[in-house]
Amino acid sequence: MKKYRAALKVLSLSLVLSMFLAGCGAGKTPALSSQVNSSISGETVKIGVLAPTTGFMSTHGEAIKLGAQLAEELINKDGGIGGKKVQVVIEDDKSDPAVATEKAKQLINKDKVNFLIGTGSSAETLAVVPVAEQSKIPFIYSLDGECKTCALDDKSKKSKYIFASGPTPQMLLNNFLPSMMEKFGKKVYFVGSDYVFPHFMNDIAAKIVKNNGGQVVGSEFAPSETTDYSAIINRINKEKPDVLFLTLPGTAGTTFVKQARQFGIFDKMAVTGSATFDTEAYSAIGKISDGVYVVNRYTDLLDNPVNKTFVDAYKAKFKPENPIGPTASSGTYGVMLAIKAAVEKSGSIEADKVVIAMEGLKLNLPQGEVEIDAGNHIFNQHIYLMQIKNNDYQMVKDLGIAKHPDFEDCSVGK
Amino acid sequence: MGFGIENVLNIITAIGVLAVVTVGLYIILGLMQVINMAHGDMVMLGAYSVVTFTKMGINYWLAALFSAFFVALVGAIVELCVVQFLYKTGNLSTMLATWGIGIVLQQTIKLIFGPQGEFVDVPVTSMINIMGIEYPAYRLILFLLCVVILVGIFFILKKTKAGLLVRTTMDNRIMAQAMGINTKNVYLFGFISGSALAGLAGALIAPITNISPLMGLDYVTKSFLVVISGGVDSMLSTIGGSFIIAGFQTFFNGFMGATNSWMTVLVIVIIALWVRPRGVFSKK
Repeated sequence: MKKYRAALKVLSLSLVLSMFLAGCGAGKTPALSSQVNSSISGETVKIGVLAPTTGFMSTHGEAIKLGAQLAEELINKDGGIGGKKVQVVIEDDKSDPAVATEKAKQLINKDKVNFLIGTGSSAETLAVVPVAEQSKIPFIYSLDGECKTCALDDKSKKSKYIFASGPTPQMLLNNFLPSMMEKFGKKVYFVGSDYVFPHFMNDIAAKIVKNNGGQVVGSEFAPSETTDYSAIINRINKEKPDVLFLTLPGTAGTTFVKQARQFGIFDKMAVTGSATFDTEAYSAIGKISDGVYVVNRYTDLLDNPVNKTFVDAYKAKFKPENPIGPTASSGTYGVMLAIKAAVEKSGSIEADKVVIAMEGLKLNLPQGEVEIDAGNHIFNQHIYLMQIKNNDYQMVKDLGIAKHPDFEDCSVGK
Repeated sequence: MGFGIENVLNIITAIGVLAVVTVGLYIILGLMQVINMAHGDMVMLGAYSVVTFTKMGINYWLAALFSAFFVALVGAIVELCVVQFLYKTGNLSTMLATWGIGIVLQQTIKLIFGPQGEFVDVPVTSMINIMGIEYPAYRLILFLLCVVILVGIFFILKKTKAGLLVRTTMDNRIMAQAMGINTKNVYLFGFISGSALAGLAGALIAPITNISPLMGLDYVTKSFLVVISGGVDSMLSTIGGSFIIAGFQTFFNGFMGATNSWMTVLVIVIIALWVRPRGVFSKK
């Protein structure tokens, strides 16, 4: 009995301690690496891919992995990047910022990649940004989120090697929210997962709502691993909002939506959100998200030749059961096409030359026209209002090309 | 504060669900002093099983039963092939072995189904009117099922011969052996029962939570907190522990943010363990 009690005590102490420590983020300073990976390993361009295939961002991680594999295959079939073969090195960062830091360093120092792409949550991205910048490796992160392209020591300047492929909350919401309020009513309730991206998203959304004459009737956040949202759902029902705005990425969104539907939320208000109804999570949320309005940078139903090539190739290679989402298409495949274009434009794979080539680069990607902003390194891109219907993301309206204002709300270096 | 009926209902359904998820762990822990780190993953297996069975067209409730049987089978294989050799070598080895098995289960499911999660619909979508509040019928049914299951186990343990054998072995293995009880079989039975209950719990919570290969992690942590804070003296300890973890969390979440609620619960657990290290609801 004694042995068992001792083991139980150790276990209990470590469990409780680890849960506290898990809350204390991962803002650790990375080791400096002064190596410059400008040498070509043979005739290959190596792209490091941080894909969270496990952890709460696993749906996006899987999409990143597949997007990268398809891009590698198609680009090489097409002659590679400037005649050189492209090779992707994919690592699982487990949706964990600490692991992301380690894997980024491993990709840079051991695998000697020329470029870094990927990462899932903002927490992971923020962990990798300083590593990439200090190692002088261009890093184009795949997912949308608040601006992270400002310099580590000066928020009004861009960081040299960091680029954002996905839209910021401002870009997504500036036209979307007024459209929703016009359609359904001015009372909005916000729910989000308790970490940096949902907080930023919901804060900005709240500002836009108020600036357009709306009323924020509630705003709350829950840990990503919450298994029971009933208390929150009850409060939402009490407040009777017109629009429910959810920022619950990954598995958190599935749990919430399943429970909310049982409480009749979907019948009582318009449900929308950011990152919650991601195409990548569609298999888990599935038909119960029918009717939900979504704003994003991509739907696989977009009608342009680049998208057609991508969708046909993706369907042939992976035979997906569910719609193809922005992370695979815009965040990964599109990003690799952007790297290819920039390398070919600059005639070199030296990081310093490529980043200059990327600034102002105009591209036709599966998501439509994109221009890489020279001022803030964010992809200026079309934003689409969509509705989930008939098992796909139907285009309702093209809200036009969005730009992000300078480095507003940049979360780097905080 | 206006603490409504719906908050009370939330609290009791949350307690019921956590108790049923934990009771499988409790049986294995209380009976064999085995810390089954694969417990959460067996819950996950139960959820995936019910998804598979319902996709085959089987009625949801039957599918839940089949899931329990399936996970019981997996539990039997685990006990016979791995765990039974480790009883004598102490807790660390069983913890490590079951942790490894948990990882194998997670990765196998991920290989078969992919990481993106599965979906199974609630068998009952209606709402019931209780004292003026509309509440989801399935949550209430789930709660009633939890009560039935817990009472059932209590009954089996206290009133049947099999239960007597289990309790005897739990009390004193050597004495039980001396009296001619085949404790090896009792242990096997215990592990199978614990696994079956984990599987059943997984099947029952599948419609109201996300189903992904790593979902077990959330439940194994909560289950361990339940047995640690409640104690392992009896089923009542498990229920008491569930009250502390799920009950308090839902209670606090009724008027505090979710993160703060969880932190408060953890602080309560630390204090409770300091005051009563064997668990709040244990005999000492």
